[in-house]
Order: sequence, then structure tokens, then C-alpha cells
Amino acid sequence: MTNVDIAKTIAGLPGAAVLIGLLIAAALLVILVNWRLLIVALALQYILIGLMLTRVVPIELAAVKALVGIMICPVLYITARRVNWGRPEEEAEEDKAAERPQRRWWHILGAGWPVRVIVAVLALAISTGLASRNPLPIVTDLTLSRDLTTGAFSVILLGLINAALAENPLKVGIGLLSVLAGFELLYTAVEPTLTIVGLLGLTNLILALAIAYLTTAWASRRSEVPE
Amino acid sequence: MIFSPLPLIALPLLAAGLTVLLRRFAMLSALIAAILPAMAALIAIIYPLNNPLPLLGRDLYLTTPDRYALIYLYLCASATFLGVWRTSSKWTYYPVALAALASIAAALGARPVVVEVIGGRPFDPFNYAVLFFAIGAVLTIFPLQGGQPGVTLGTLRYLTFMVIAVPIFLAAAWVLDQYSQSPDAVNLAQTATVLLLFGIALWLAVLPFHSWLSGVASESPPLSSAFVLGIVNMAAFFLMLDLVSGIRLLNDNPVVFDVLRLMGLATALVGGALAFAQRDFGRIMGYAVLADIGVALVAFGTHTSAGLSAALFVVFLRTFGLGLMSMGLALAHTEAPDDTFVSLASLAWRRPWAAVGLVVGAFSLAGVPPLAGFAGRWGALQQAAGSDLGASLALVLSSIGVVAGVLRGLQYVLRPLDDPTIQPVRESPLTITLIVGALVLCVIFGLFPDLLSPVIRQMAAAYVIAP
Repeated sequence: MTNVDIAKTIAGLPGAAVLIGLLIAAALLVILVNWRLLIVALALQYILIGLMLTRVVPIELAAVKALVGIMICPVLYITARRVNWGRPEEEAEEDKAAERPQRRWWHILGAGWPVRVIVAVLALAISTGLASRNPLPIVTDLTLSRDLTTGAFSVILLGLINAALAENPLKVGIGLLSVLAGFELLYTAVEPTLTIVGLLGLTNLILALAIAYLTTAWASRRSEVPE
Repeated sequence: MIFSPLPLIALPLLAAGLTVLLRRFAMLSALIAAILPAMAALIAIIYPLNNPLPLLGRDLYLTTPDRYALIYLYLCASATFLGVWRTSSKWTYYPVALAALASIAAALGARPVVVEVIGGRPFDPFNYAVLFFAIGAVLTIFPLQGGQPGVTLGTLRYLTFMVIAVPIFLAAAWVLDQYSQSPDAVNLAQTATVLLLFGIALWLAVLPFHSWLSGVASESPPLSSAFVLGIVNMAAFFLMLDLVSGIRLLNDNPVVFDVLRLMGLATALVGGALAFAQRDFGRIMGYAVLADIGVALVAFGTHTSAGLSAALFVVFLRTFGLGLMSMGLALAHTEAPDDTFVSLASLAWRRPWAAVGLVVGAFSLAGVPPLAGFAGRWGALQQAAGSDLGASLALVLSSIGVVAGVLRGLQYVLRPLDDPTIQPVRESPLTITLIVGALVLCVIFGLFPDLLSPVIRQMAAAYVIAP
């Protein structure tokens, strides 16, 4: 089985399954606070956006979109790792040294998770409602247009929520990257010029570097002044 | 190809590469960073550079207004690089700022070709310009943050507004494309207009999207904030002029100009009021620039050629006060931990040249005669008075707010030293030359603003704005 066959098999996944996966990944980016999981969810979101795009643009172009996203994730991963996943060094050392009481599984969601879940669900309800009533005329197939609009509106809205509500540069940055990714889901279908795809990819990469830089600066103060 | 915009893009990129290679030699890096953009500006002064440059599958070309705008931006950038050399030891400023400059030049070169929206295709959208500008704006994050531990709030807000505008502009281009195919669809025209105005408001930092201005001005190294407030914001203004002039849907619609005028009025008033309430010179600089953006929009919103000329005067003459004030703040930073009035107490006795730059620059930004900022504001005031007396009163109030804020700070700057044994810092001759040069230019352009008239007249004539 060649790489192209594998790609075609993956692209053949049912559209509804890919859309549901995309909505879950986008919602997780709002709900989660753990930096490791956030980066995994971001990578998943980019892959699913690539998969959705295979239905409207050539598979190579969709792969370029997914690849740009997958290139961004290691940049953020290395940055997050360098800054101790956003925790002050003292806290990280204490965590290693001290015996911690057994925590419940939902500890991984961080404090205030019920509010974030409610916000994410409301945002998903608004965006899917809006998209199903007024799907943008992207392609002639109405169902496909509705799927693309739903995916794009949800990713953009949840990205905006992330950018507006979060305080640390990594989460704000992930929100901004999501806004661009959600928009590209629509825009690549209507403007599949390679130059525009390339320039948008470059914008995403420079944005990721800027986010990495700001995250490092933000975390360096936290390690200097323990809370 | 040499008479195309190539030198304006290639020379800053060449300078960026050289400053990375020669990073150990601070003086050489600074001179390269200052001289190559100045050379590019000189080439653009001598040659019109109006041949098309094929880049990424389309032709970039410069129109008369964009050529003059870029000459001015490049000269300002050169002066900023000299200022950075005298006040900061960070070599990273040069390559990143130079790359941002090249990207901004590409953005202004990739302006929309006359967009005949009503007349159907061919439609040449402005998405290249938007993407190049966004790349330039995102690149400026690095000098803006300046490696300061924990200081990210202002830069993060700036990044957010710059990035969010990208999909809005691209969506507007897409809607305009659809409208060009079905010119009877009024809803498409309305959607495109709203999206374009929203994008313009985000990039120009118009109220209520101004929150990054004060954050950046108070947190970031002063000359980095001057680069963004002076060069990036000015480039955004020229992109707005290109869009409004190039898209008939916008320049034919008087409501667009009314909205711009109202946004400008609110921005100028809030800028002036907030400048008065600050206890930090950096923040005063940010709000003074906000007020200035508002004044320029009010003049432009009059929808006349004279109003457009007045707006261009405001935007051009802003850079003198901004440069001088940021230079003064950058020098003061070596003596004080931040820009607060208390930290800069007795600055006039500790660093007299820094105090002169700071105070004169601030007064120029506020529009106090006979400084450069006054000449710009006076023209805008006359235009506003012609259409609406209330608007001109609002502009006067905005200037008074900034002046009052500066006067409050001046009490601290002029406060006598507690310790009489402290000697004033002796500035280097080059630093004094830079400050005196900027001061002289600030006064000359304040007294004789007509020196800019031939350029501004040509620029205003090239834009399709007036009904």
C-alpha cells in the first residue's frame, strides 16, 4: 500500500465522523488547560481540518494545510517543554519530590472546567445552529457546504473564545491559530491558489514563532517570582 | 526589474541578513540597518519604480502615493535604527524590524489594481497585501516584547488584533469577488463594506480596538513601540487609503466616510481623555497617538480632497513628535525602571537631553504650536470646522487632554533634585545630534508645513476619494 493509497483511505472517512471529531477537538482546546493535551488537541484539529479539506480541494493541497499545522505543534511543544509546561520551576520540583495525595481523573481538566465546558457547548450550539440555517455557498453540494460552514464557524468561534478568555500566551496563541485554521477551512475551498496557501502557511508559522517567543517571556517571569 | 519595487524589498532583506552576520559589531550593524533602507528611499526618490515586479505569481507595482509613503516610512525606519543603536544593545531588533519593513513594502506594492466591482470581472483582490502586512505586523512582536521577562500583555493584545483582522479582510475579498459576479446583490455589498470597515478599525487601533496601544507604549522598549505606532500604523493607514480609493463600493458610499468620521471623533476624544488620566509617559504616548489616529480619520471622513490632504499631513507629521518622545523615553530608561512620573522625577536635571526630547516630542504629539504636530492638527481642525463645529470642538478637547496629561508629568520631570551632588549624565555627541536634529525638524515642519505640500498634493491627487 503506497502513501497515496493510505492518504486516500484516510480521506475516505465519513464526513460526519470527521466533522464530529473536529468539533470535539476544537471544544477541547477551550476546555483543557494542560499544555501537553492542548498541543495534542491542536495537532488533532489540524489533521481533521486537512481531512475535511480533502472533500473539496486536491488531496495534496489538503495535505499541505495539515502539514503546516503539524509543523506548528512541535514548535509549541518544544517551547512548552522548555518552560516547564507553564509551571514555575519550584512547583515542578516540589511536585517531583513531595508525595502528592491521589487526585481524581478530572484534575487534568484544571480548575473551573465546568464553566469552560458550558462555554464550549454553548459556542458549539450557536455555531452549528448558525451554520445549518445559513450555510455559505462554498461548493455546489449543500451538505458539504453545511459541513464546512459548521466546522469553520465552530473552530473560529471557539478560537476567539480562547483568545479572549485566556491569559497565557500559549492558550491565546492556540486560539489565534484556531481562528486562522477555521477560516482556512472555508477560504481554501474558494481560493485554492498555491501562493495564497503558501502565504497563509507562512503567516501561521511566523505566528507560531511569535507565540513561542511570548510564551517563553511569560513563563520566565513566573519562574523568577514564585506565586 | 531594477525600476520596479525590488530595491524596496531586497535592500531591507539584504540589510537583515548582514545585521545577523555582523551581530557582534554593534556599530556596523546599526549603520547597515540605517543606511540600506535610506539607500532604498533614495533610489525611490530618484526613480519612480513604477515597473511591475513579478512576485509569487502576480505583479507588484508602486503608485505615486505608495511610493511617497514608502520613502517616508524608510527614512523614518533609518532614523529609528540610529536611535536604537544609541539606546539599546539588543542586536535582534535590526534583522526582525528590517524584515517587517520589507514585508510592509510588499504589502503596499501588492495593492489592489483598480477594482471595478460594479463592472464585473476581472477582480483583483487585495489578499496579497493583507497577508504581507500581517506577516510584517506579526514580525514586530519580537522587538516589541524585547526579551523582557513576564511582560506580554500589550504585545499579546496587539498580536490578537492584527491576526483577527486577517480573516476579516480575506472574507471581504471573497464577498467582493461574489459581488462582482452578481452586482445586484445589495446584501453582498453591505457585508463587504462592513467587513472592510471592521478590518480597518482593527488594524488602525480605532476605538474600541485600541487596548493594545497603551499597553505596547508603556511595556515595550520605546523605540520598538515607536516603530509600531509610527511605521506599522502609518502603513495600515496607507493600506486603508488604497482600499477606499481602489474599491468603488467604498469611495462611492458617503456612509462609509460618515462612519470613519464618527469612529475618528470617538477615538480622538477618548485618546485625549485617557491621556489626561495617565501617570506614565509611555501610556501618554500611546493615547496621544490614539488621539492622532482619530484626528486623521476625522479629516479623511470629510470626504473631500482637502480633508484627505489634512489627514496625510497629520499622519506624516506625527512621526517627528513620536520619534522625539520615544528617543527621550529610551534615554530615560537607562536611568529609571519604568515610564511613570515618579520614576522620571527630576529627569531634567539628571538627563537634560532625554527630558528635552520627551517633553518636546509629547507637546508635538499633542499638537502644540509651533511644533510639527500642530501643523497637521490645524489643517484637520479647519476641515472638521467646515463640516461640523462640534467635531472641531472635540478635536480641540482631544489636544487639550493630551497637553494636560503632559503638563502633569512635566511637574515631576522639572522637580529639583533631592541630592545636589548628583551630576547630569553627559550624552554622547551623536545622541545629542540625533535629538537636536529631530528637534530642528520638528520646529521647521511646524513653522513651514508647506515643505511637504508638493508631495501631499501629488498623493491626494492620485487617490480617488472625493465625490
